[in-house]
Amino acid sequence: MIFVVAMFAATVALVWYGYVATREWRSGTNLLLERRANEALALVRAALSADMKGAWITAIVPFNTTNLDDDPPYGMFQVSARTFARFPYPESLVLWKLTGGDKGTTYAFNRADRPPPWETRPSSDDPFPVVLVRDPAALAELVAAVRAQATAASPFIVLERPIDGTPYQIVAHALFASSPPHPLLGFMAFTVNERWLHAQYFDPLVEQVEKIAGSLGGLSITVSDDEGQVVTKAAPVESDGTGDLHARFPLLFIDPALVKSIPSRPTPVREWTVRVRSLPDQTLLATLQGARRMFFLISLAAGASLLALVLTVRADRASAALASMKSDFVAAVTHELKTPVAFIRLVGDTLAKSRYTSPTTVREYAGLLSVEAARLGGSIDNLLTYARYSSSPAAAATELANVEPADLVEDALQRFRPVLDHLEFDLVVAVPADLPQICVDRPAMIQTLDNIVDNAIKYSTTEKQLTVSATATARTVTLTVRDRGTGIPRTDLSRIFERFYRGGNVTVSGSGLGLPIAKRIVESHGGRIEVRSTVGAGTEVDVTLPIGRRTA
Amino acid sequence: MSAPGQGLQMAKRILIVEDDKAIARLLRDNLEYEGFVVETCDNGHEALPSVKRFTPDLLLLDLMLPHGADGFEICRALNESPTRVPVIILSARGQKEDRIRGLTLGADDYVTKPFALDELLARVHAVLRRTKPPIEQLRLGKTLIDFKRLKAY
Repeated sequence: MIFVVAMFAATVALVWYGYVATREWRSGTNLLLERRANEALALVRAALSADMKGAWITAIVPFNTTNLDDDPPYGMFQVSARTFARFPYPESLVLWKLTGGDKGTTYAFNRADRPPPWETRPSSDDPFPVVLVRDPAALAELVAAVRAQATAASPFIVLERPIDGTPYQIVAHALFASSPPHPLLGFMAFTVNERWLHAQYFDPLVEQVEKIAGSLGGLSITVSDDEGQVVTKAAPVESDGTGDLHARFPLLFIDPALVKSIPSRPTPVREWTVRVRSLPDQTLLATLQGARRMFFLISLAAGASLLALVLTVRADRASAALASMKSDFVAAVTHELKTPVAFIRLVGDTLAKSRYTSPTTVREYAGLLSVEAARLGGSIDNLLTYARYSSSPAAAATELANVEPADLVEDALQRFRPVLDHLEFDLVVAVPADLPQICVDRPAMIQTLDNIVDNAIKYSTTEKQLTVSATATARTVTLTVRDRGTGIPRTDLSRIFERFYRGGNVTVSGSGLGLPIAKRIVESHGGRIEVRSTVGAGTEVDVTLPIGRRTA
Repeated sequence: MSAPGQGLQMAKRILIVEDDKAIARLLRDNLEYEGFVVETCDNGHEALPSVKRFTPDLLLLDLMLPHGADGFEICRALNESPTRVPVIILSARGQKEDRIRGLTLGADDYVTKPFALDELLARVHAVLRRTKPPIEQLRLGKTLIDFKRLKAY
């Protein structure tokens, strides 16, 4: 029992361990994915921040009065070329200075490879990456707006405004005269085309970050604008929520800290979103799947061992039950055989010592002696038949002969007549004389009927009635023994043909062999035996045997 | 063996609990021949009531009994009751375990079937001799103590 409990506990522990290990492994994997997503997000944010401030630092911050003196501003060609080469987003660099009247002069340095949409003139074949346009009409409003916004207190200006119908962000640096009243001398600005920003800017950046951070596994990085519209090309990937992170960043091409310090900021800063999803890569997926499969196998093995355990316990119980039945059988057989012998010896001793008082006593002893000897003989017959039919039932029924059913029944009942008379049984025999012959091992079949009749007598304590009848079909003859005895409970009925089994309500002595022997004998004849019983009303046993074949 | 009615002693009473009527008959005849007063009982139900009614000096007890208690149970019940009756078990079961169990439960002797008549009779006498109370009655002044019936008058 301890073994069984230990086995069970061990199996449960095994499954539990498997489950915990799988779960830990899974949560570990999730943690790893989460951390990787975090790293990637930080990387993207750093890259964006550095890149978006770059043009401002390169082109706008160093702008000073010496640049204004350079006229025409050929030096700006170099600055523009350098800026365009390093940063993709400035579309034009705009230089305005207060020369040639109140309107001043505007120089626009446009990208040669990506001319602004407001530039209507065809691009030249000049290989130099910068195209200079002087006083373009499209920029007049822009210049006016920057001049209106510029104050000596805040020289850096960020504007969100359309140029020729296209939305732009403009970052400018204004220069004022050092002596009062500090008139505006000029400004330097660059324009960022927001349509281009939506379509082109983020993809190369994200690709690069993915290349660096994604070397460990799949990462999906997307950027969406302030309206939630995704501006990167990479198809958004559905993820299960693990390693899904996002952060907002201001869409500003200037140091955001600087913008916050400008009190009269004209447009609120728009915030875009970068989102990083970490996809479990193939290795992790495969390992996770492996872990799951392992857990499944562990569960399966545990199930199998539990099943085996249950079967073992059941088999053990069954064999214990059989052992107990066998031991009861040994006791019963011992009793059955030794009791007559004990009696015979007792009679012998008594007679040998002449310890009797009258000749009548001697006669009575002789009568008892003969009854006990017959009983001993019957027990021995039963045991021998049992031995014969349990070793090889097929080989047992070899002495077959055709017999009349009526003869057979008469022979079987012969032995019981004195007992039946003595117990005042009401015996009815209804076996027609014209029944077809049956082909049986005669002594064995008589013993079968003996056992059935013996049971009927043993278990008839109140209503002493015994009926033996017979019917025939085209192929079989059925002999029926019916009593009005105690009956067999339903729970015992299915087990009465088991060797050594004795019913729960059994009070008379016996070996538990009678019915199993009867069944073996009948079945080895190709027949069958059926029992119907009602507790308190009696029992009916049918023995159905095939009609005899004609012997040559 | 000697003639019936040994000596002047009060006749001893023996109860035979045995389901086999033939054996019970022979035992009864032989024990009566020895001068005992004998009664028989053939099932477990009536064994204990018979003991109460008949107050035997010795019980011959078969182990395998139809109806009611088996020999072991009767043995235990007798051993636990205040009026202890000596018991000789008669059984076809001769295995060591059965003998030990019977003796443990309070039997005074254990005889395996089939047995020799002489041996059984010798054992009956031996057990009776061994379990005979030293004094059956004691008179102290006006008080009479009856040890056998466990009463005082």
